[in-house]
Amino acid sequence: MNPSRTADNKGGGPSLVKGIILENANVAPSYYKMKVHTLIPYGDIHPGQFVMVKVSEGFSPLLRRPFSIHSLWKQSDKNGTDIEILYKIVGEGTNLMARWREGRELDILGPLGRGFSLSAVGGNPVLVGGGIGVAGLFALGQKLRDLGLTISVLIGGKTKEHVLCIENFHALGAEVHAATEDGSLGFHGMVTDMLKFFFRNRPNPSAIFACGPLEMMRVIADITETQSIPCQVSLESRMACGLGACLGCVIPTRGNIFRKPLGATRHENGTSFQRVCKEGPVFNAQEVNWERI
Amino acid sequence: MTPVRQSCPHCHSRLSIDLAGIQLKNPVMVASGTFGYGQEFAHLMDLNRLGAIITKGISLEPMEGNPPPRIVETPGGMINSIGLQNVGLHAFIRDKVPFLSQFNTPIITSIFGGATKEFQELAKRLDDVPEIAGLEVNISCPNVAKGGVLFGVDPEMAHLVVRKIKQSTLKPVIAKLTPNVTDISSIARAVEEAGADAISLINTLRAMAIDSQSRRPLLSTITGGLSGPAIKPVALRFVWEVVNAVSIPVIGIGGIMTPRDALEFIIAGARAVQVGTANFVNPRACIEIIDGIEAYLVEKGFAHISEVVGSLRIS
Repeated sequence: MNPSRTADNKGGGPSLVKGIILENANVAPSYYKMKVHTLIPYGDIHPGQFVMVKVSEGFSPLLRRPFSIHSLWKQSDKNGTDIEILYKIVGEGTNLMARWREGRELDILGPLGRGFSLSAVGGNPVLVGGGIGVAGLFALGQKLRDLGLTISVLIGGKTKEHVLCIENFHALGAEVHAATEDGSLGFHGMVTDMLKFFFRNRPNPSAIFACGPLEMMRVIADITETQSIPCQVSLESRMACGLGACLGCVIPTRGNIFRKPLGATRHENGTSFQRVCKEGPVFNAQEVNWERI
Repeated sequence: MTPVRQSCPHCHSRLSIDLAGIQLKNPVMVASGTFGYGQEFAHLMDLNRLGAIITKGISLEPMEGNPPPRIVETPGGMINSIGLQNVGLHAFIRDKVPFLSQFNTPIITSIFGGATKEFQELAKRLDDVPEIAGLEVNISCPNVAKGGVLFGVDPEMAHLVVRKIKQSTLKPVIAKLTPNVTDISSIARAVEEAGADAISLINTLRAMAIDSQSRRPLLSTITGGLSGPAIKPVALRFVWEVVNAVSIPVIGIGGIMTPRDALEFIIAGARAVQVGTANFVNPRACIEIIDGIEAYLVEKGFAHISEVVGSLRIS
């Protein structure tokens, strides 16, 4: 494994391509998994990167919708790239998508953003997902497995219907723990509470990777900062272009107070706001200004 | 004696125009704030195809912009409140201009200041940058508290700032106007009298969105600027009024998504158009619009785009 290659978590430039839906399956109440074959190959895809999907034929709804690349289930070849998107119906756009059938042509822009940085990861990393946040963690799990690492996965949801991907992570050989707010599956409580229990038995995880609701990530950032555990979070934001042009998706960071772990260019814009679509969606947890978010 | 202008390879094209002394190979430009500094789109399209690139607005010093949330989607549009986040003049010239100048496309720099002096200083310093073909003066941003739109809603202020800028640069100056005024014609005439070489309009319409569940505004600044297809009919009316009020070239902006949209502005009298929000939805929108306009000219038997400008048939 070429280390400079693994350090590059940004990939090449995005492509604007047509794709064909191979499958769009209802995997749980209000959750769908869509397999797409892009008609020209995407460049290297890094776990944590996302795509922007056009959801209307015309301009209503107007904007593309961002989705984490859930899984790289087949290697890219000269004919295209097969990717998977796991999504939840949350509004007009995803409602339209849920009606799409196999064979439909898709306008899909990607891969976008900066994914998880894996250059310094060893030992036993822990993945923490909340609700649909687990979508972007599975591709990471696949990559970590390929790197020969043993992973633990903590998945939280309101009820057992909202806890996704347990079997998929099992299939990667991961140790999986579920938490539900109503106690219908696994640990009764928040996934962040389960994480605290988890740390009592496993005090030294090599890294935490988290994606889920903002409150979940805020708590995880706090825990990992206190315990000095490297932590990367994948953030969501309202987004118009996904390309770094509109500056609509920014989040506040701690600016120059902290060192710049992912390269000196991160504050080139002279602002403590960073674009979720470009500098993110993955950030070091301690880089984010959680008080201002 | 007027020197013979060196002919450019595109001058014989149906689409080439002279806009206030800037030679454009076609009348389709990207609107400020919707295209970054070009880099973000270079992977996805050929920047050489564009009529011109209007860069993200630049102020003397870097600006942090407004806190998030900064955008919200609305029916047929979006409201933004970016607050002119930008790298500042120095970094723009040092880091952004060299990239943009690789392309055979004029760079027009959008400038923004909180006071007349800042506008003047920007104009003066950009006058020294040969790669910059012209300036677009943003006196119309609805999203910053200080200055900005104050210049754009008052004819005397608009006149003053444009006159001061014209005194500070020899480059063509385009005044970008806000639609958030009672009488657009008086503003347009004021900037024309002050020496503006062209007028572009409209900037966004002040707008607002509320989440009824939480009863909270959907933008941190409560109000923002509406763009997208929803504003096109309003923009078209503004352009029509200004075309009838001034004799300098007018650049139509507002919800242009398709070639047909662009043609509507041109028929109303716009010499050129800017494409904004469409770039977010379809990074290749401008290319499709350029090709579509050309196809229209061929189909309708026009030899040159100028035959369509202001060709609205009223009887």
